[in-house]
Amino acid sequence: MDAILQVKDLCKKYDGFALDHVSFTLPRGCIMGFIGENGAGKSTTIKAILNLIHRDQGEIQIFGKDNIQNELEVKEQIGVVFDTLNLPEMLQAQDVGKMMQSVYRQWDPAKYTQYLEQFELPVKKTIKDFSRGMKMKLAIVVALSHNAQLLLLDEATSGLDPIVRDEILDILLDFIQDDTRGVLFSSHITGDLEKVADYITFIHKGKVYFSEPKDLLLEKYGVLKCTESEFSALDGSVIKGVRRHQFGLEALVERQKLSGRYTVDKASIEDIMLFIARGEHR
Amino acid sequence: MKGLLLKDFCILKKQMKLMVVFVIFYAIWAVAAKMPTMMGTMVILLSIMMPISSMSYDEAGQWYRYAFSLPIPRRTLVLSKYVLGFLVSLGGLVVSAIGNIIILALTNGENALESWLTIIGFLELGVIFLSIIIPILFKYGVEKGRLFIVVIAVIPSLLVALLGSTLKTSGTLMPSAELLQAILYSSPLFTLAIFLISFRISVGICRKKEY
Repeated sequence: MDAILQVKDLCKKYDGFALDHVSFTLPRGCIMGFIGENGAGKSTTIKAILNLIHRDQGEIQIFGKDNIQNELEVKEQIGVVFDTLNLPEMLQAQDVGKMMQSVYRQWDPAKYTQYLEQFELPVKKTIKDFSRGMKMKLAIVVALSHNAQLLLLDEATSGLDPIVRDEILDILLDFIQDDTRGVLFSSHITGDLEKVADYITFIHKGKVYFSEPKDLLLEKYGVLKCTESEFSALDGSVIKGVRRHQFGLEALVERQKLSGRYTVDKASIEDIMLFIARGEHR
Repeated sequence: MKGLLLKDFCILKKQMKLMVVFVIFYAIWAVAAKMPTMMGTMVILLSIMMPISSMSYDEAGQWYRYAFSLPIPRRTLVLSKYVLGFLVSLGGLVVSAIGNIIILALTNGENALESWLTIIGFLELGVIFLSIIIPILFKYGVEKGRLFIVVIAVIPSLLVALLGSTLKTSGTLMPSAELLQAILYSSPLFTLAIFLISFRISVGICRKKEY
């Protein structure tokens, strides 16, 4: 399997926070959902991929090339969308097009115009007067108009309404259609990821807790509802997290390791994230 | 590079329009008050502020982290600010020179040499000021940089005042005409050197910084 993005043993230390040997691999033709609570290290990881911050240790390969040694070459083929549109608000969409033409070697004005039309974005209106949804759509249009192979989205859909989000998800699905490109998509909205992601990477307190195919995850984990006494009879290695409440408890379990007759509900990505991040552990 | 300058000029378009109004206003005032240098110095002052305001817009919109996610080398972005600084200073010089010629013609050329020297001297001071402030803005950002702007503006005037008063009391240390002339002729080179050194420092700062 050909990797479009590979992060290996990435470390970066700050006061009170550290990325601790973060590793994951994004294969071509896939969307990877990058989840974790605020401050877990998602943005820091993305910044390290973009060489916006200097890593202490580790290796990052994009298209099989080192992200620092081949920085500009690699960035020609990356589309980036942050949680806000970072283009100056005084510009109009047409100014952005002119500017990007001299930034990206492969900038495609025709494609840009076509996307602007598709998303009903006005060409001659200052960005300042755009709604938040329009701004984010413009950011995505810019990221898509230079034949990028890899899209990095850092909370790009947070704060958007479900309709715009759904539109954006469709674009992402369309983007990876040809099986050569890839998307790394950090988001809190796990429902969105459940819809489109092929892989889920969960980062918690600077460490990657898991990075696995989504279907495998959904198959692997389940939520067991039981009483305290039933729970204490369980083998500890089965349990990944527990949440107690008034009438008993819920536990995130590995289905296959669980032997015996239990009713295990499906676990959503959100369940998995919450149990691991907030639940008690045995 | 071209794209970055294009962006800066788009941002500053409004400000430049405002500047035209200022120029006309000061030109009328300068003629009325028979103070040819006033318009020139004001124009230069306003132009020098352009790179600083473009940098504050950049910072407010978190432009840097985005720009450095695009295939833009850090050196190029820094260079674009210095080129912008150079272009607006040049623009300021041209406008104030034209203004000065007109005003001199209207006021029968009183103090012609003095007015030219004032404009050139002011431009040089402005460029030196930019050379000091741009690296500071790259390093500390506009919010903290503002303090430095005040300090940089105040310290030289204090120094000059201090120097003036010591000269008055000692009475002996008046510089000779030759020395003044040497300073006059070497000052453009000196200014240019500071500008280039400042660029190198800014590139170093920007490469080290995390966005």
